[in-house]
Amino acid sequence: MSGAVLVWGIGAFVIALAAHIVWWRVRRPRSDIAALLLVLLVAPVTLCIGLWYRSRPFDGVDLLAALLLHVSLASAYIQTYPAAQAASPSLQILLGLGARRADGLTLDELSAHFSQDHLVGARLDDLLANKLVRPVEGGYALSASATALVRFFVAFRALLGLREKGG
Amino acid sequence: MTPAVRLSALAILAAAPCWIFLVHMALSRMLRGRSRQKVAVLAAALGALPTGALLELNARRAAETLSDHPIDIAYAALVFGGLAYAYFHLFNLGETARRIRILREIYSVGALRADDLADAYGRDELVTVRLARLVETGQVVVRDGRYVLVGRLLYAAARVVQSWRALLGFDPLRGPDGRS
Repeated sequence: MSGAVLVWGIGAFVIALAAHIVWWRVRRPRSDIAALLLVLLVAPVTLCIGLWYRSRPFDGVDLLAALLLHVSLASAYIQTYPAAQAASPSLQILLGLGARRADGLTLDELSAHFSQDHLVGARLDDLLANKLVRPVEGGYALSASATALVRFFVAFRALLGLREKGG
Repeated sequence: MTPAVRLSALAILAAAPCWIFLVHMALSRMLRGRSRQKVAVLAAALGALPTGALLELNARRAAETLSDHPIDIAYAALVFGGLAYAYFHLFNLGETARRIRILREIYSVGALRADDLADAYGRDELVTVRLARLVETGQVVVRDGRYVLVGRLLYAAARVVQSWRALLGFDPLRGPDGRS
């Protein structure tokens, strides 16, 4: 394998990440999951294949290696993104405790910070924007992709021997 | 190395989440009762063993060893690191994400109103479950009924995430003391 594979794989990720930052700062997309997949996976992979096809700087196996490197870095970022996007309560608890240092906070002080809207309302809006849930008479129901997603997590956790609900 | 051997090496690396998952299945049963996050991190780290062993066996098909190719080792470490990190966070989504929990609540009954969702997922439960996880992972301790931060690792991660949110143009995270 040549060093060019590392340059292509890492370079594609850095450029895609820069495009993601610019896009989000200019106008954050409403359906951020689809936009994230587009800017970090679909567009860079398509561009890399197009550029490689024009100049053929290395063989096809090295192209696959560069794409695998890019996809692994992009996957790591995509999995980290929800912690930043969704204002993770765990991170908010840590920031609050960090600010109070040795004084700490009681359970009541911590609980008072989180409203029901914070818990459910904002996340439900995300799920609606990403078409994972749809309004039906009497509430909300899952889309087909959300049903598949839930089944995946149920099976994943069952295979790990974890039965009770996470979250 | 021949194209066939290089292609096999890529397939072994691309399948790294499968090797990690197999290790995780065994560890989660052997270490029942331990912090699930710590077990997942351990599984992700130990997943490097079968991946490395398979890569070495593959290299020997071409009468070579991995140590003959330092760039290949750096490449494999980067790809494995990215996939292992993604695996850990995928596992964590099922454990901690509110959106997945909401989807599971709706899935279990077919359809739910927002009020039912809020009832199914109470405010106190959200905080106590998260505090329990932070205590389990050694980041927080309870002193005289007050939760006190003692670990710096996740706090540093929280600060990084806070900075990243600012870079992306999100509102700053605010802790329970009202400060960002």
